[in-house]
Amino acid sequence: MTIFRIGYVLMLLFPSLTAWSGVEEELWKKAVTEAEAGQYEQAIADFTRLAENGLLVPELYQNLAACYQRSGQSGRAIACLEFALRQHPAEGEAVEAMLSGLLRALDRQLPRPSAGGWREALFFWVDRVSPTLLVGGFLGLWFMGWGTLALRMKYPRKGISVVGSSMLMLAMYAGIAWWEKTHPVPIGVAVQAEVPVFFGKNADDVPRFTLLEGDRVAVTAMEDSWLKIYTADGKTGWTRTGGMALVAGELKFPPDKNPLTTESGV
Amino acid sequence: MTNRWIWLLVAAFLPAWQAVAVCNVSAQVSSSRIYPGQTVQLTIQASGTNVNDPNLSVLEEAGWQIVGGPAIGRSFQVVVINGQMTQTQTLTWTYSLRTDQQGQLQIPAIPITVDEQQCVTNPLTVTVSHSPPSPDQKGGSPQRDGQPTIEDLAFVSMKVDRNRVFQGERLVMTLSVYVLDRMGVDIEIPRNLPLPDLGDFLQGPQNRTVDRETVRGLPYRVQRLEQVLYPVQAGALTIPAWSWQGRVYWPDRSLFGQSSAVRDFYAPPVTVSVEPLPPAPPEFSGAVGSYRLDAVFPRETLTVGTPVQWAITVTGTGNPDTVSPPKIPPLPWAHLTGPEIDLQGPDGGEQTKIFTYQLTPLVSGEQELPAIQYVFFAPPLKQYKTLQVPAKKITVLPDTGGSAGQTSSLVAYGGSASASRQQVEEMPVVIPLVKEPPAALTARSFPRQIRIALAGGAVVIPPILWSALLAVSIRKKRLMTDRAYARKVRALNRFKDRLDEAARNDDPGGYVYRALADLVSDLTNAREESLTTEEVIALLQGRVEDEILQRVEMLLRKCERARYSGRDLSGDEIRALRDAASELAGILMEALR
Repeated sequence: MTIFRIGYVLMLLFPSLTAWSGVEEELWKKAVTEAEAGQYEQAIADFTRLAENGLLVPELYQNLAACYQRSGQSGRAIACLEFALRQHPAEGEAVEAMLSGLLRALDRQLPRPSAGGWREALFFWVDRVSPTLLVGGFLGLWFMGWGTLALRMKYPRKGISVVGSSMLMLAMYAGIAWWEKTHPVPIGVAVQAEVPVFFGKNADDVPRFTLLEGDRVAVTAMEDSWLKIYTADGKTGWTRTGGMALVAGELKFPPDKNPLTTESGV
Repeated sequence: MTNRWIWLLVAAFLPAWQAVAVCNVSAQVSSSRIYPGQTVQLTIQASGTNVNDPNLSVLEEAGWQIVGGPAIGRSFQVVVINGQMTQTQTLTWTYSLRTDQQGQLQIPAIPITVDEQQCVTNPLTVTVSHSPPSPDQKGGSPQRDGQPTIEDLAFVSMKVDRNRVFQGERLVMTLSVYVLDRMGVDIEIPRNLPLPDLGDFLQGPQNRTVDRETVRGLPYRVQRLEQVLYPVQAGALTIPAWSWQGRVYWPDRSLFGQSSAVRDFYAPPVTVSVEPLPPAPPEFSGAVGSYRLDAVFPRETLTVGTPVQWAITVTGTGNPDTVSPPKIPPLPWAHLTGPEIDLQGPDGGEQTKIFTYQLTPLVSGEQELPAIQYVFFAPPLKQYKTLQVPAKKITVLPDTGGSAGQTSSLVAYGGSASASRQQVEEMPVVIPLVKEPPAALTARSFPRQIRIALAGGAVVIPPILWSALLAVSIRKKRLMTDRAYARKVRALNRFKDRLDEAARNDDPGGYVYRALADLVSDLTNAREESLTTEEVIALLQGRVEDEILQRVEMLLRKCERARYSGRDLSGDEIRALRDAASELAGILMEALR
């Protein structure tokens, strides 16, 4: 009876859901038209609304990046592409090409900081394997491993235990690798022409070094309005959040300009 | 008359004299001069037949903290005089004391009860000062009776080369360990020698040296650790005290003997006054120190499309991390990439940071390399200083293989000619706009909570199913191999079957009897068939309470009577027998599980 009730409610909701997706389609087209007409601020606002509604597709962030690039905000464009890459690493080739083009245009030499350490040493085997394949491999091996061990109860052969245990270990490796791949270290992207980095959380100090727009750094801590960062060449310091876009489970821009908040994927 | 007064005085002072006379207590300290925070050993000694512990409450009132002890030593002395034996004991208590106060601090008289007499130790004075006998005070005479004290055998010091610096300016902290340069004198330091907490400073390179030095007339071997520091912030920054524990060895009076003692080594904190930098000009590079600027350009005549390297070097003393690349004005006639950064020179000395740019001329004609400025803060001058490399005229020749302003077919630096041409001519990337709404716009994925639940289920369900299957398999195997277990597990079902049969059969008493007897047989793994009442009772003896035993016996007897009486039982009687049997079965199951 309960199932029938749920089905009835879903039937009632279905037209409104389809109507909502129609609204989003309209909003997309409107934003594209605005972008083509050079109304980048309007287009960014509309694409941002779609992102706030939970749309997590690489095309959306590509369009946001395109609007930011055309309006002269290359740092924000890089942040959008980095976020798209993070959410959909499987489609990374095209996004990487756009990123490298943007960075070349800005003449930036600072590479993207990596997690480094044991993670790279352990998971370099699956560096080029997509997360979808990894999670599929995990689930397949996980079920097959336990199934094989269950078979061992019926047919007590030592070899079956070895095969089952090996499958489970491989499954765990694939699972952890998938988790590491989908939860990389948060990075910050400089979105102002020059972003000073200080020794400590004191903006009156002499800057230790300066990040230029589009420079990417790893973020290791967030306190109040400060980010602790390190660069790919090992420099560390503190910088104000006002000059950085934060690319993590969600994409956050400094509060003065079009904040984007999106939900992270599982 | 006079004699009477004398006797009266003697009688009055006699008890006091006696009290002083029997008090054999003393106190001494390991050092009469210490730093604030340094520990000093206080040793109290008392002798008598009955000696109580000293009352140390006076120490805390005098500003001392007891941080260790007591280490108690005890010795006995037995004296027999004219057949009368007297036993005397001598106790020593050693405490570690510390104070943060400065000046002449007193260790007051400490009360001790000895042989029921209230005694006090002698008061002591300890000088607590930040300025102990300095190792620099050469020619003094610190020895005690011509011999070096344990403090003279080894000591440490901490110094900085300057007490007033600017923020970011180079500062050298020297930690020294002095060990008396005599045979047999040595020191054991912790494997990982702790350094002071340098949280307010960026740490530069370290340098370790060993040399000899004469301090207060004594020769010492000195191990020095020089640490370059850069103050992070302005204000009075303190390098905390350098303190650690080590062991000092020295030769004793025997021929080859060696004594040792654990020592607290302590160098007082050092305060450095750090001045903030004055308001910086916009071109300030962030470097603080003394620098010079040079530029190396390979030649004065270039060719369009042929890259050359342009090296700008910043050489000097200061934190190399703060030396940032010089700002290059825009070059409309060339493509500039880089810089590649290289650091050369000894750690802690003068270092050269090389910024190498790759310059590819794009337009032929008379061109100019712009002047380069580099602004840093010079602490000796207390102001910012601007270094400059003057502008330089160069000639860019057109590419002989094509028209002016185009790339040539010459081999490019670091690659082929075609690669170089691509690099120079590459158009800026324009991110394309995706016009069509993506398919994912309508086909949404599941909400996050559902995805998490599905993922969790996928991870958790297989091991749970496997565990359940394993439990069933183990149980099944045990039922097949363990007969007692199998009988116990199936006992209740068999009992219920028998009771059900009793309702349908013309010998209900017999069936109830069999049901109960078989239940006991199954639960105790006894013979399976034809148990008599006595045998059932014997099986249950000692396993259940007497009251239950009586109830079982009574029920079995009733069943026997019903069976052999020759009359049919009424429905109520059969129900009563079955109910009683069911109740007892529950109790027996519980008791014999």
